[in-house]
Amino acid sequence: MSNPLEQFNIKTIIPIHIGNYDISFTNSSLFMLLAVVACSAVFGLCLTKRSIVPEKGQAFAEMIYGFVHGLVKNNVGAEGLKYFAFIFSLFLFVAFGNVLGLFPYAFTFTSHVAAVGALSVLALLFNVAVGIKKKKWGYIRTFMPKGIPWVLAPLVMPIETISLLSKPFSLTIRLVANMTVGHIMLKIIAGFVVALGVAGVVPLLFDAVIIVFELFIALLQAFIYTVLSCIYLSDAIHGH
Amino acid sequence: MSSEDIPENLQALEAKICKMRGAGNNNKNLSSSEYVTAAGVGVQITADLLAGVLVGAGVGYLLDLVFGSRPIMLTVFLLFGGAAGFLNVYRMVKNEEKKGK
Repeated sequence: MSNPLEQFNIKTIIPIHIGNYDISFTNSSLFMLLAVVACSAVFGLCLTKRSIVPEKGQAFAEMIYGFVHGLVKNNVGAEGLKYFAFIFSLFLFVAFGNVLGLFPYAFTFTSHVAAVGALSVLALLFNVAVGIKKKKWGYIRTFMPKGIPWVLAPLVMPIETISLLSKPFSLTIRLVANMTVGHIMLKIIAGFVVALGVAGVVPLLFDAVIIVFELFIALLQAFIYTVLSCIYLSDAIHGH
Repeated sequence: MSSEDIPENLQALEAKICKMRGAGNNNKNLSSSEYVTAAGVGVQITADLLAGVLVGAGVGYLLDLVFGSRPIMLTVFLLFGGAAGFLNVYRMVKNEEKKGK
């Protein structure tokens, strides 16, 4: 049986080295690029013929737009709509990455801590920037909420700092764990199909069920990732 | 379709189904999407608790490297990290409650 972890190996496609840094174009970069191209293509094609009464394609694109729009409005408030473009891109990138990864022979870049971690840190930095832009020096109060005696400052400040820093971690862990576990499970069960011969029909059917479930998980995780980014953005704008 | 159009035996059947449904799950009528949301909250809490401790340990380790005070900072920040994890969970649950009302 082939190694179920083999699918997560990073393979260099075009080696690029600058100084001591290896910035090669890998299968991971390829699928990130594919995700961007795919969602641009989907939205481009769906919105070529824009009409007031939408057809199927346009209605689909508008539905996704409306969905994320509602999400931002509910979780951040009307103020957050300024940052809608960022949240929308985040959602599409993660959703397309998850779904593209489900195709046979595809690489799931959302199953790598390095890729998702960088994205989460980017989201955190964006939120911090928004917070600082909005409150200027008052942003420091995030680390020392009102109504806490100064004696407790040495205790509260490190806790608040770690609480802020741990946010991208919890975002990353959840998405990566979900994607990795799903893909390993699919691969192991697929291995049984060959090993069991005729009786392999049973794991094959099982795999078919799981892949539908994985598709659901892929979209759900993209949704949760977006909701939590919204909540963090709301924390940055409104304070706790 | 008004209720008069439905034959009587169907109405009786519906009443029966309702009754059995009520007996089957007496702990609230959660739809499947609500179950998924609840599971999501559970996973989120786990991830939050874990992330707090991990980041706390990381920060403590780095501070130890800077000050050369191994293992004091690591120990202290491990505790801070645990506290931060609980703080995140507390805030999240409070948010959920607010949304529920």
